[in-house]
Amino acid sequence: MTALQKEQYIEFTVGAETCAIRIEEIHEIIKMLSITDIPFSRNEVKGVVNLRGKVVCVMSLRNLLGMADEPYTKATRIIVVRYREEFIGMIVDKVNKVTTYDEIHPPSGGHGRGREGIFLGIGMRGEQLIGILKLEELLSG
Amino acid sequence: MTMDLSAYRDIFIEELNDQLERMDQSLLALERAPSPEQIQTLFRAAHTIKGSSSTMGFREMSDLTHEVEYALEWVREKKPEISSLLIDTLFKALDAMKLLRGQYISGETFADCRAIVTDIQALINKPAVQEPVKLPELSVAETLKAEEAAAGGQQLLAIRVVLKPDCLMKAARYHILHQRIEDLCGTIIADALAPAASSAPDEDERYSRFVVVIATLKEKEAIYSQLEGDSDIETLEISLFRLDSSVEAAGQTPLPEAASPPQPGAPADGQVKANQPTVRVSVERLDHLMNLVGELLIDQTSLADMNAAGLRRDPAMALQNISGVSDHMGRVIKELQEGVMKTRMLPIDQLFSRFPRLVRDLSQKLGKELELVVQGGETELDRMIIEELSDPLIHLIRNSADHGIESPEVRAASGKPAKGRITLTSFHEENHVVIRFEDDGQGIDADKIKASARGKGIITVDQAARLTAQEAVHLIFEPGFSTASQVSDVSGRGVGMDIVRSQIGRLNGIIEIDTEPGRGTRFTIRLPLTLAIIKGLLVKVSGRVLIIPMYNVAEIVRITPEEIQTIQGEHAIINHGRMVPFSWLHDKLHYPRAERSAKTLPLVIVRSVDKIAAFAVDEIIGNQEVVIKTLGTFLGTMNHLSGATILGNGRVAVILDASYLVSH
Repeated sequence: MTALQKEQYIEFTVGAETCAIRIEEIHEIIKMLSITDIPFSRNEVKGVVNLRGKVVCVMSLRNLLGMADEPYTKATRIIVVRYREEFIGMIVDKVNKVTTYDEIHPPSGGHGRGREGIFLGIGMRGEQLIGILKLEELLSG
Repeated sequence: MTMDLSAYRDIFIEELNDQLERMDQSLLALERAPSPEQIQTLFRAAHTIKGSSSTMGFREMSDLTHEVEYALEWVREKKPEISSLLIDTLFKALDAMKLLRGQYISGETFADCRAIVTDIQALINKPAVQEPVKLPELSVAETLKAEEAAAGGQQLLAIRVVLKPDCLMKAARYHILHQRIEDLCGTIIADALAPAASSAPDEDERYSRFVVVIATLKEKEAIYSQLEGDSDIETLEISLFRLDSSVEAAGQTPLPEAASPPQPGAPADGQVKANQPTVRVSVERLDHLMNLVGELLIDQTSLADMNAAGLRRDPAMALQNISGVSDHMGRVIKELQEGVMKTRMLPIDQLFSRFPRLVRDLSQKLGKELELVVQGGETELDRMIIEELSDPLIHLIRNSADHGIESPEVRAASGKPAKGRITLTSFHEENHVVIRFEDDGQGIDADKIKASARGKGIITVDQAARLTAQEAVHLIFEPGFSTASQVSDVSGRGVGMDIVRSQIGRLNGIIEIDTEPGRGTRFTIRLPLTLAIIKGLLVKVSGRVLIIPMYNVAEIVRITPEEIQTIQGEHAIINHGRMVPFSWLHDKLHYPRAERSAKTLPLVIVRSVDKIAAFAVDEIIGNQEVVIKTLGTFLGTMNHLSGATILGNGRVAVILDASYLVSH
């Protein structure tokens, strides 16, 4: 896990949870844009947005983590990541900061909700535990 | 030889495609009317292919093409009668070349073309097949000598020489060359002659081909240039000789070259390189685009010059200037758009030129006389559409040749010329391209179609009774439909026509069928000019802006709710005297339908390929040009959408797929 520890992460809030994504995987973070819904798409796909002329699919990270959607607020952000040669947006409640972790533990099983695979590891800062998301797993479902 | 050729692979393949197509056409022309020009064209194309293939290390192709070139040269020199055997053999060789090309592109192992080579050689009475001279098997002493030389930093080379057929006193030439190699190049370790074959009665012929293995400090290229000038040498090949290769040489492999280039088809370094399509654009078109970009730059500079100071001094003047520049920019951008579009356009001849060969083969296979007439080949359309059109048109031609055109006897009996005629016409009409496919065959018999469709369970007895002749004819597009009483290998697997429909539907096209029993059938295919930018009709449904390709909008009408009729549980309206299925676009897309206060409903009548349907929307906004953007692969298959676009207000709007709308 030493390789993971040196890396920088973007830490954000989704519902009651704090999660992080490796900064290398993030293309940019944008404010909420008006979303056009796509008929007959999966529930967690909220639609598409215009990212400077590119049509980018936007997902609800809340839905992906098994939570219900909440109304968007001023703090709501879209984290745009690169996934399999495409850009994908993920809606989060709030982006906190760029950070590193002193200690990262391997993901523990038994989270329930059948989502063991979606974490790369658990970052620790003091008492706080932060799930580091594994995009490949999270988005492939 | 270590040069990385993978960068040229795409260019090579493209050139190969061009040259093969050219050969195809010239060969067809040659069959119709022999002319020295056609032979010359064929020869040049073969020569080009041979050269570029051998540069690319594509030996299989260059060897085969060498034979073709040799045969063509023979035809050019000896001017024999252009027999059908000759043409057929050349076509066969061409097919083999195409096969090799396919295998090269996909990286498969190459097919064995020796049978064709033998055919060609038999045709032109070339001396018996020349097995390459086997590398000499080194004796123990020779091996030691070679090992010693190799240890001393010398490299081992195998020099293969083939003397010219008209060279006199080959044995003497052999000894002279042997001596020259010894003098100029390095130490001769071993040599080998062609085997004393019983087919070569002349002992001298044995010396016409030989291999010499040498140990040298010189580079291969240097030796090559030393020897290549010799006027008696027909071909000269120099390759690295590996000591253990003589073991292989004793086996089956005729080409045991240590330095043989990597398998051309095999992806270099395990990295699979996609065959990126390239476009050829005339320099004139590019210059025009460059000029337009130049004008845009000037506009941009003048906008930058209109700074805040100017605006304060004389706002009215500044505004006028800005609107002037904006107008100009608008015009330039429009022109730029057209110009860029044109770079995507190709004349449809690129497609049509593939068909004479197909018709020729069908004619031979079916024993019917067929003639293909092509008109309007210069009509341009998007290269992508051209590619996609190939399969549907091939299906139509096959169907027509197989089912449409009668046997010569039947034709004669009904007073038609023995030769069946298929006509392909293309032209622009308004904002689309029309491709008309006609034959003068027996036409489509609506009753026979109905009976067959009923037999196959595509329609019920009830439905059959209600179908008009025109509607019955369209049943040929239904999956699983085929009227051929026996399955032939030309057509008649019952898969053809529904592929035609789905393919044309994918291109947002429309097909009409006109048929007259006994006289022939005509398919009229209408296609948009391009798929990159389309005119779209913007409609509002449940507060969302949706786009329907204008191309597929037959009509926009307003109706009162009372006009919606229910026929057998399905909603329909009457439009121009015919029944059109009706539905709410809301229902179709599972959006909630709002309570309406207005008395009339705006209705969009959508058509695609051969179907039509009416959709009620909340509001018609209008039409505009939209640039189609893909939705990407992440969303999965979205058959109901043909893409998305960005509207003037920056929002994304989805573009509905017309063939989905009318078919589900």
